[in-house]
Amino acid sequence: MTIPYTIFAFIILGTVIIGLLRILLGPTRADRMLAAQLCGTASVAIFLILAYAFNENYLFDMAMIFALLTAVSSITFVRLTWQKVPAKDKGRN
Amino acid sequence: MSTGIYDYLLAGILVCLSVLILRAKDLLVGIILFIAFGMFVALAWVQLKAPDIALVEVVIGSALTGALFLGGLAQIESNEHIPVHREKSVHGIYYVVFGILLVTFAGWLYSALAQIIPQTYGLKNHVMDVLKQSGVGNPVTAVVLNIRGYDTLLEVGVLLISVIAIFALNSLEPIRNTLQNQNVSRVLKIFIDVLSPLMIVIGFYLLWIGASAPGGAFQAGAMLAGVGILLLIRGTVIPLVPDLLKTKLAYSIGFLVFAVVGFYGMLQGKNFLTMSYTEAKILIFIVEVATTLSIAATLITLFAGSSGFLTATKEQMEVKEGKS
Repeated sequence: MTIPYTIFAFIILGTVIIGLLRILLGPTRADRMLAAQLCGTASVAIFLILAYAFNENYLFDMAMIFALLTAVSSITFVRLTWQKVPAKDKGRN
Repeated sequence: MSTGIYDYLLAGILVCLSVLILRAKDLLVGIILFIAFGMFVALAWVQLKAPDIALVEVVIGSALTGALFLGGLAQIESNEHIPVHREKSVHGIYYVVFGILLVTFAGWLYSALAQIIPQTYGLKNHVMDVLKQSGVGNPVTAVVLNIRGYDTLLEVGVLLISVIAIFALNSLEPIRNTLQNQNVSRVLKIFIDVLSPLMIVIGFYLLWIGASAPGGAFQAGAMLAGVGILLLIRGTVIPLVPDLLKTKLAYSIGFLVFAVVGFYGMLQGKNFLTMSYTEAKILIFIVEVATTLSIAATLITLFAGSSGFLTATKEQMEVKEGKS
C-alpha cells in the first residue's frame, strides 16, 4: 500500500474511533445506532481506498455489498427495537 | 512497512471493542458494538488477504447477525416478565487464575505456531495444483464445493436442522405478520422498494461471480435473506411455515440437490461427491443455485423466529380462541 492511501485510511479510522465514543456515551439509543451507521459508511470508504491501493476488484464489490446491507440492521432497529420503547421514554432511551 | 501504523490501529480497535462488548451493561450497546466489531473484523480479513472470509464477515457477521440480535432484543424487551439478568462481578482471585491460564495457553500456542509456520505453506500449493481440474477459478469455491464437498454438504444439513428446531420452538400454524397493519412511513416504504430489487440483483451477481472471484452461495443467500428481512419488517406476509410443498422445498432443496449430485458421482463409478472435470463447472453451479435458495430461506426463518414473527401475539390468540 502506498503512503497517501495509508494516510487516508488512517484518518478515516480515526473518525471511526470518535464514532465509537458516541456509541458508548449515547445518550439516546438512536445516537448509538447512528454511530454504528457511521462505522459502516467509514468502512465503505476504507474498502474503496484499499481497492485503489491494492488494485483489487473484489474490494469494490465488498464496498457495494456493505453499503446495501448496513441498511438492514438499522431498519430492523427503527422498526422493531426502537418502537417497542414506550413513547414517553423515547427521549431518554 | 508503510501499512504498519494502520494495521496496529486496526488491531488495537479490535481488542478494545471485544473487551467493551463483553463488559457492556446495556444489551443494546453490546449489540451495536458487535455490529461495529464485525465491520472491523472484515477490514482485518482484507489486510490478511482473505477476501472470501471478509465477504462472509460483512454479510453474516455484521449485517444479518446485527438484525437478528436487534430483533431478539425487541422480543426480550416486549416480554417484561423475562428478567434481563447479568452476572455481578466475580472474585478477584478468579481473574488472576484465569489470567495465568490464558498467558500459559498463549505462550504454548505461540511456541507451537513458531514451529509450524516456517516449515510449511499450508495446503495452498496442493489446492493450486488441482484447481484446473475443479471446474472453477476461485480456489475457495473449489475447496468448498468440490475438494471438500463433504463439509459443505453437512453444513447445509445443519441449516436444515436449525429450521426444524425453529419450528419445534414456535407454532406450526401460519401467523399473520404482526407488522402487516401497522403504518409504514413513506420514506421506509420507498427506501425498501428501491433497495430490494438492487439487493436481489447483487445477490445473483455474487452467486455467478463466485466461480472465479470472492463470492458464492453463502454470500448470495445472505443477500437474498436481507431482502426477506426488509420485506418482513415492511409488513409483507411471507409464507415461512412449512405447510406448503414450495416452502418445504425451499428449506430442503440445497441439501437434496447436493446429495443427488453426490450420488450422481457414485453412479459413474467414483466416490461420493466426486465430480468429473468435464461436468464439474455445471454441477457446481447447480449446487450453488440450490443452496443459495435454501440458505436464504433458512436465514429469513432464523430472523423471523428470533424476532417474534412466528409467535402469535395475545390479540391473535384471543381471536383464534374466540373462533373455536
